[in-house]
Amino acid sequence: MPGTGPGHDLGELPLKLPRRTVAIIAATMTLGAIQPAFATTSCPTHFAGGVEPMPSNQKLARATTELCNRRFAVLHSAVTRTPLYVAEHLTRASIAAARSYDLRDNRFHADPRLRSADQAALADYVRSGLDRGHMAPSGDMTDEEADYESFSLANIVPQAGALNRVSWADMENYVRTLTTKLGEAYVVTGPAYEGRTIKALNRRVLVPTSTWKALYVPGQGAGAWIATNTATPRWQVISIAELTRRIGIDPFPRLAAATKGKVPAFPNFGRGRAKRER
Amino acid sequence: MTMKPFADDTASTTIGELAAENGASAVMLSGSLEITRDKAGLKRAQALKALADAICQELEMGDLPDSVEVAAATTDDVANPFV
Repeated sequence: MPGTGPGHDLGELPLKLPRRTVAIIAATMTLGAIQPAFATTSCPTHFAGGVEPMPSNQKLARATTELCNRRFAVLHSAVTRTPLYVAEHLTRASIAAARSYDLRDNRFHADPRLRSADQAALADYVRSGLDRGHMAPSGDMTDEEADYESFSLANIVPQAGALNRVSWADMENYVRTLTTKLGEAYVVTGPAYEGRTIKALNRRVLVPTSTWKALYVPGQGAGAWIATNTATPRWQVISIAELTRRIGIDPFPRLAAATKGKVPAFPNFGRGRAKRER
Repeated sequence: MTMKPFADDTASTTIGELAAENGASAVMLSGSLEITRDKAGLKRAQALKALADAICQELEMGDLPDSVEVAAATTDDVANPFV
């Protein structure tokens, strides 16, 4: 694969770099950007190493649109009428701002940047029995405008209430606490579609069989959670390599293979095992 | 709070980690809320009271049925487009 030599491995980067080193890396990344498979994104700051997640399953790449927002990027699919992934770069400062933004009012809405035929409508979810599950959490957003963007249906998948309201919310909060502890994190979140048959809402919006979140903390490591989108969610903690194999998308293309292969020591948020950390 | 309980299916209001989602037939609250004994805690408690008052006010005004139908998942099976 081009541009993935040892010098590009994100796993090798120390936490803090002197300014000159940053300039050298930036130049290297620019060189990487001219290679067609890399950095075609318009909002590289949301991605680890400035490179967006790569679908290895070409069927996923069909009819997709990148949407850049203030705090996160979305790859929206007109096939599922949901995001395929959303990406965020969380920092200690962004989490502090999000946590002090304590009282929020917002409104779910269709995304004005997408054709209505290509995206979910509010009516698809109303009285469907499934929640509108945020992929980039509202709780990560630092102000009203960013929070409004998180209420776009382009950031939403149909999620079982038992998952969305309980263990998924606990896990999102854990990621915020971990970011505060460690300083920064790159986070990629999305739906998985496993099996021959998939459920559809209103014959329009595909219901994921699971939802996942991949986390990369520079200098520390990486890993992912995947939880079944069911009334009694089953949770697994897996390596980035295993996640990539299952979902057909590599969330961190620039990450060193050795880092991708490790199963992280993340808590499992399944029933009875959830450990609330704040 | 700008949400008017039961008036629409789109509004959401959040107090700390407690989220309220509006719906024509139900308002859904989820998450948890820590109310500390300080100024921030008072703001949260007042927001919670305003929300509960608004919900009660709407319910007290209406001629309510004994129970309203709660939606169950209505989905169809389709072939997985990605396999």
